[in-house]
Amino acid sequence: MSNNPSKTIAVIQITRIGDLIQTYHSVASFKSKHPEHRIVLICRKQFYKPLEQILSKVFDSVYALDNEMLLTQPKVLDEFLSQLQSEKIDVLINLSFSKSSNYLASVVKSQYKIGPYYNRLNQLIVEDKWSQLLYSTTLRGTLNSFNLVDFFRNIIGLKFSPDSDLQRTILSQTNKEKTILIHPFASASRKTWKGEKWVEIIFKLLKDNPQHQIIIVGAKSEHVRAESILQNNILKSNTARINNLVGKTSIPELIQLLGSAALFIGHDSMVSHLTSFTHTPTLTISLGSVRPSETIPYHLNAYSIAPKTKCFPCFPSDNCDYFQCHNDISYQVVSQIAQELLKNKAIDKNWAQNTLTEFQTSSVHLFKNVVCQSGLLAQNILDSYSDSKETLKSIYRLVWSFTLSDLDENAHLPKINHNTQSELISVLSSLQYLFELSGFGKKYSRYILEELTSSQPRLSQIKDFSKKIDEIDSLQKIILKTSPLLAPIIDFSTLRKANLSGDNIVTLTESSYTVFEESENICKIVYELIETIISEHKIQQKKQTSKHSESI
Amino acid sequence: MKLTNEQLKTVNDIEAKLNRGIELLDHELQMLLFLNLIEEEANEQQSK
Repeated sequence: MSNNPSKTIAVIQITRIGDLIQTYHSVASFKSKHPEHRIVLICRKQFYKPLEQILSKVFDSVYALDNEMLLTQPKVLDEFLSQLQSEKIDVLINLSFSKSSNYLASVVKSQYKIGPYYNRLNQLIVEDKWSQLLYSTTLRGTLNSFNLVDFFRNIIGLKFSPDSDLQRTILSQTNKEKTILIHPFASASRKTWKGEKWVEIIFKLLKDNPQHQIIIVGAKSEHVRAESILQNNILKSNTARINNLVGKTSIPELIQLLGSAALFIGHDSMVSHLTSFTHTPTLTISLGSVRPSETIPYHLNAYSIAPKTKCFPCFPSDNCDYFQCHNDISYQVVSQIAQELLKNKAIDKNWAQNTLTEFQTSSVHLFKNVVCQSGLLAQNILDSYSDSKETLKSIYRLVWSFTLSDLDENAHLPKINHNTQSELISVLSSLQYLFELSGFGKKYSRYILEELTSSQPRLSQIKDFSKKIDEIDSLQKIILKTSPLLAPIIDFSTLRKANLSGDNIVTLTESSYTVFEESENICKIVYELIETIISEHKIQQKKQTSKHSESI
Repeated sequence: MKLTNEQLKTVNDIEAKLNRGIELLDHELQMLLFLNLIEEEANEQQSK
């Protein structure tokens, strides 16, 4: 135990149960390393109540807002806030990133604030770099490969310790039974397969595993949908082997069931996140707006299958009448993977090549959690080559770990094919332009500083240089449109510029210089990594060509 | 949900202040929090 005096740290997490579970894991890491500090949770009552027993293991105190009552009794908020103000909070950490949570972070008094909040001019402030990265990558695009548990842990300021962070189960060893737990629902229709697909999966699982029982779980509100699956004619002869527990289990009971199940299959939902407490072999089917790399359950037995549909993953606000991504995953590929997991075998590329057809693998990605220095990485295990998006995701992970946490991640660089090479070459030219713009930004920030520190600063010159910096910002936005794969660098830099530190023009300009310099360095590292990947590809190509000519 | 006259006045004050670049007071920030929370809750109830 360290000798630091005890501090009170309040964590805001007012989103859903899945997010609360992810928050639990990152805060549990903190608590195990710093048990002397008091940790307070600020959350919503409806999502906290079912997890009360689990959350009380790491949170010393909980303030749960009854949102539902707010509509009829506005005074609920006054009472909630006055209770909260009785806490002397040293550090407030907002992990929700919603508009409401950002306002909540603005009204709660605290000596230090981490994560987004509004200031008194109603401007959004995000001061710490990991929150800036989360805000500029996760909320704005799909090029993040950090699991949210690792993201939250980085925001809190902790390094990943696999020995303790991956051993956190809440069940003592339970006997595995011949049961397959299925949760065929999710919070939105775009994330959920239609019942017919689930009927096919359940039928195939029952047929291939005559010794196994199937347990269907879900909330009370999902009862009708569960019935429509179970009433399907195909399943009627097997009803004795299907136990419908939808609406009949509490969360602790669900955890017990997961602990003894041989396999869990479901979508990205609260139930899939519960497997992070039991480490049950898990297969999640990621659809719609789900980003498997961010939300795959946090344990080493977790797999996630996702479609290669062009528009996947979408944003919850995107209009979609015909869910193409739902059709791009076949029930056959899901049942084949499930079958292998039931044998307690790890799935790898060799297995996929020997078992799955090219037709099956051409439309899906299969991710498996592997351990990296910065946390868990959802590694794509079916494809031999990465496309340009996956390549950039891998590069960004290395870059952010290095630049924000000084962590030199010892990861293999992705292998690419000829198409990706061509796409990456075009990214290189945009990157070169972005690098030059950052250099100009540095130059004009320096000119402003020189003018400010001269004996007679000329306002007109300072204005001209500021205009140049505005032009640079506009040009960066144009690059964003033509090279969306560079969005994380541009968005991060834009957010950093909107949150410059300093209280006068000199310190603000110094801070602007630093941001442009950071952006320049990031461009340089990304450029070098892309060049290395392309060189490796060329070497491999040469080797293959010479092998081919030798064989002739 | 209908806002009370007092709440409506606070919302008008907030708009006027922000247009003139004047800092908001605690209860005004709290009003913005309240409005966002009830909007979020109403959306959630609608999607059920």
